[in-house]
Amino acid sequence: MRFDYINAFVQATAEVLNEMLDDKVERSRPALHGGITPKGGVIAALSLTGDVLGDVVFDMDEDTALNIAGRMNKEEFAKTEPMVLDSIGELMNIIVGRSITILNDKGYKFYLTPPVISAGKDVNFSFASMETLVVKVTTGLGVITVNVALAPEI
Amino acid sequence: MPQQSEALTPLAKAYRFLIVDDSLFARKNLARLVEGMGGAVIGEAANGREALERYFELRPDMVLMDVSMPEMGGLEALGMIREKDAGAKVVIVSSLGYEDIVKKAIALGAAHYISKPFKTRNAADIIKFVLEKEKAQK
Repeated sequence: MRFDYINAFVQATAEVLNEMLDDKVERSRPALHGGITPKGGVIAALSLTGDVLGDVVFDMDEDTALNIAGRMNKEEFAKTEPMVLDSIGELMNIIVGRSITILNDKGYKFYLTPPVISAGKDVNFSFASMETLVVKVTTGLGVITVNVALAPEI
Repeated sequence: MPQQSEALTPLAKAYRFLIVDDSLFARKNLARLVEGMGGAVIGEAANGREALERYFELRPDMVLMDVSMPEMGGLEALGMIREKDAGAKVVIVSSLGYEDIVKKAIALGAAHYISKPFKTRNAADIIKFVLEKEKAQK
């Protein structure tokens, strides 16, 4: 997996969370896994096309999603209602958009699909056999796990 | 995201806006911005196809348009609107800000480009500039 791709996602995640949530973030060392299945209360998934095919999945527990959506909307949420899921989807869309901007300005060609958001106790997402890089981003509002799975280059 | 407490330079009149974004949060956020400037949101759309219908039905003074949306993206809709109405004022508001896509938007007739996440004052200045630059130049 090309680490310059991954760095763009990690950099964009930290920058956007700082800008949109006005919150300092700490990130773990990236770890490589083979085809893991994220589990969490809320999952936002986007697909990448262009030079490399792949998926980016953000997962977080329900409390983190409620805290983040609350900060974005300047109001409190008690449950994962549609506005909570939509706000998380938009945040992830902006993070991935920033990542793609960084990569395209470096000469790579990436495009993205709109995010698909899922929520619930049993929600999960399989990367099948794709190699996945995982970074945990800790904010004052909770932990977000960034999973980036890119198909092998042909 | 717009800061509600931030006072924005008001528009010269209550211009009419169409907001196009597949995110409800983004539409709400943009509505708060333009209403904070004294503008009026007369319609919303969640994709490019809906935007075309709403545009020709409502004839707004300005369209704020996302790029990446299901069914039909913002650039395709921008091109189709400008093809039929060369005077349409469409400002792209997108998280995609790389050079090629901005150039493509401008080539299709976008009046300006705002990158998400945006600073309220910067976005307000761009909207005001696009709507009132001709008046200011007279």
